[in-house]
Amino acid sequence: MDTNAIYALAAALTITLSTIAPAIAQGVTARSAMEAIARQPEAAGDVRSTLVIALALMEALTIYGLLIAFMLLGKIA
Amino acid sequence: MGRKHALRYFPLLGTLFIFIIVCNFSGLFPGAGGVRGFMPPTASLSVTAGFSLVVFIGLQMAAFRELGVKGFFARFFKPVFFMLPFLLIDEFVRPMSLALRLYGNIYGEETVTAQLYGILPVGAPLLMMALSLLFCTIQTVVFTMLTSIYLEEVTAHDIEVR
Repeated sequence: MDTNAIYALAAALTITLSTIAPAIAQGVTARSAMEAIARQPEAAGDVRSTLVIALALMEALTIYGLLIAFMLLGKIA
Repeated sequence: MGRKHALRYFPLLGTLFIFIIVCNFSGLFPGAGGVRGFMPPTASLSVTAGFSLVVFIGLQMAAFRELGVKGFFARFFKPVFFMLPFLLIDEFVRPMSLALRLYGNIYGEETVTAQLYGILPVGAPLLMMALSLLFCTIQTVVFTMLTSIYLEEVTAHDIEVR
């Protein structure tokens, strides 16, 4: 297989794999946040801010994978 | 973070917030992104690295001012002694993660919008731009909030071991 094909495959594989785990983790976090809000509606503001920060922290992991995929795409001749 | 500290660090946080949110939104003007000089500034790693460098220096100065010279070095040994490598790495990696997160998000939005423009010139970028509005705001908020959380952590006096 020539190098371009490997770069393309690697880029596709990178972004695919790096979306799986953060997505599951974000789903679990959102579920906990919703349960917390349902249990105590007056804490909704606090829970919401913490939820946004936690989601962004997990999103960053996907973004790292996306950056690697972009760099690999840039290497294709 | 306490009212006194909040007032002291408000210029830094406010400037970061306004600057970043305007930079993020500047990619939504018609015609921006395609033209080389008109891409959103945060879509380049140098700019976001600059932001995170400012945050890094700000964190060190805040720790220095709050804890003094001795406390500044002692805070790495605080809860448990052998956490030193992790805390050191943490110190450098957190601002880097701020920069990469912001850069990746904005650059990704730009690229996806450009690709959608290639597919369907009129309708498709609209969806991505609408999503982009939301995400730009969220990214700004996250950057600023994380900075303030790091500031609070760094100026905490007594880390209790629970």
